[in-house]
Amino acid sequence: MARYIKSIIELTQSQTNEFLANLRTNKNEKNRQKTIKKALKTKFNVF
Amino acid sequence: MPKERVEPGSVLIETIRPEHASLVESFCCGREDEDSFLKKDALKNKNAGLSDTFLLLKKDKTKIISYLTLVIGSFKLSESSTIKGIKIRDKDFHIYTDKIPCLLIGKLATDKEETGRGGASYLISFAIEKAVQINKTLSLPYLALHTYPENVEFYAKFGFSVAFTPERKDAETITLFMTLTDFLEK
Repeated sequence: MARYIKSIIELTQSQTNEFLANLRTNKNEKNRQKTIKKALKTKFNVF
Repeated sequence: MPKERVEPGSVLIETIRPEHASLVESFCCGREDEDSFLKKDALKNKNAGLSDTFLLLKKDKTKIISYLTLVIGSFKLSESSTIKGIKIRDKDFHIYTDKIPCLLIGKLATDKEETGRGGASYLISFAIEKAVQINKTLSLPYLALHTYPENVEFYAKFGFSVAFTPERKDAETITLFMTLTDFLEK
C-alpha cells in the first residue's frame, strides 16, 4: 500500500486518456472475472 | 508444515472498535506505515467518518490476521474528457463533475506471523463483495488502490490493472483499478 491514503486521484490529460482507454480493455480480464465470481460466492462473517 | 488457509468458518471480520485495543497493539506486519496507521489512526479515522477499517480475526478472537481500510475515493479526470459519450464538466448536459467515484483500498496488511494463509486475498474478496453490495443502490463502479511497483504483480493476479502511467518514472506508487460494472445487478 501507499504511505498515505490519497482518496482523490488526480489525472493529467494524457493520464485521463490512458485511464479511459484502460476502462474499455482490461488486461487482466480472466483473473478479474475469476476473483469477482469467487468473492460473490463467499459468505463473510461480519460483525 | 503448510499453514492453515483462511476459510470463512475459521475467521471473523469485525469493524475496528475500542475493545480491539489490545489486539491492535500486538499486530505487527513489519511495515511502519501500516502498523502505525492501525495503532494510531484507524479508529480515529473511523470515528471521524474518514475511513472504515475491518479486522480479520481468528475465530476465537485472540489475534488479528490481516486488516483492510476502505475509503470512498475518486478519479479526478482532466476537464475536456468524454466518458461513455458524456462530456464531463459540461453544463449543457447538466453534468458538472470531473470525478468518477470508486471504492479505494487504503490499507491492506497481514501480521508477519500470519503470512501465507490467504488473509489479504480474503479481504480483497471482501472489498469486492462490499463494493458490489454498495452498487446495488449507489454507483461506485470501480475498486482502486495505490501500491508499490514491486506489488503490482500480486494484485494483477486478482484482476487489477494499472490505471495510468505515473508522471514520474521514479514514482513511489502505481494506481490500480478493477471494474465491477458488469457484475452489478441494478
